[in-house]
Amino acid sequence: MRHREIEILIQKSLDHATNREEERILRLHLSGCPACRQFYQELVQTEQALAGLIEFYPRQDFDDRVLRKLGLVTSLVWAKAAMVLIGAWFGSVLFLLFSPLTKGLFNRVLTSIPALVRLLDKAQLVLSSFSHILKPFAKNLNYSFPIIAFMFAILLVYFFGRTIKKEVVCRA
Amino acid sequence: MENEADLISSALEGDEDAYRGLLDIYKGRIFSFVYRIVRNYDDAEDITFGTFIRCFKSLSSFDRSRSFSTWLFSIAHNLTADFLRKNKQEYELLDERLPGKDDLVKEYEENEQLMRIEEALVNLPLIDREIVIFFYKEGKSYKEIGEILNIPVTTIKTRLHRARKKLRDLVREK
Repeated sequence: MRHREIEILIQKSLDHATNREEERILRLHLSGCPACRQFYQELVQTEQALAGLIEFYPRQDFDDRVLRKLGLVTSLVWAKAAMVLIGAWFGSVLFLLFSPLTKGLFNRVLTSIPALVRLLDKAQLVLSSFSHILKPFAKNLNYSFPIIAFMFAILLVYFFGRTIKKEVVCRA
Repeated sequence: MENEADLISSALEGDEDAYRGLLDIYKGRIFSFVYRIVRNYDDAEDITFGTFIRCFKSLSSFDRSRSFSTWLFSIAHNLTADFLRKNKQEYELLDERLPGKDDLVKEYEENEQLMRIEEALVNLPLIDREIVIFFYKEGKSYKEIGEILNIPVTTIKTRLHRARKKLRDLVREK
């Protein structure tokens, strides 16, 4: 058998497509032909090396980016905004509770907005009815504190809502 | 661990963990395939990203009687081909400095034989490179490769034989 025909048989053998007779002919030829044997062995080595190629990976945040794009996880921007608001809320609570400037500052703001003053007067009226409940908890309580805290709470609920929400169905 | 069919069913119901499961199974395989074609980490990541987005968006239209990986690889192949077509000029220039100069190939420093194969792969025509990767790395049959690349099985067989021989010659030369 000629080398060219043997090469075809070798390729067929590597495809696992030879029958028993073809395999016998091939083995017989390879045992007596060093050139074809070397060719065969080198092809086998090449195949083995190809199967051993390593796998490469994208960056670590790849999964999150894909899922975010699909709307399955919420954007980091919202999570960050919520964190900032929590910080701002705690900061303002501390400021309103302990700062001597609170009352003066708040009065100055109120005097510049008459409509808000009227609104707050009404709110104060409502709150004053609960003052006997609130007073034991905070001696220096300023009525502006619960109003501002309430506004922050609404904002926080909104941002947390955006952060925690996971859309079940892909937006796309 | 859930099997692939279960993951697809759960993903169709909007289960985030199922999407993560599918990503775990396929992101390395898709990225490796694309990377070996475009030989640029960022571009390969963009194409892989696009592949998964397209796959997940059209998951409901996926024919469950077909192989999911074959379908996914056909998306990756199409996006890669589109990318190369759009960036043809840039990639023709890039090709001249490709062999052996890539950062990721440093991973092969301790295995010279694999390094030689990786470099030899770059010298194959694109279509042959894809066939070799699908056949040897992904263990796909001629029929599956035909489905992915949309070419006849006989062509694949001929090209694989030629590529196998060329790779052997290239590895010998190095």
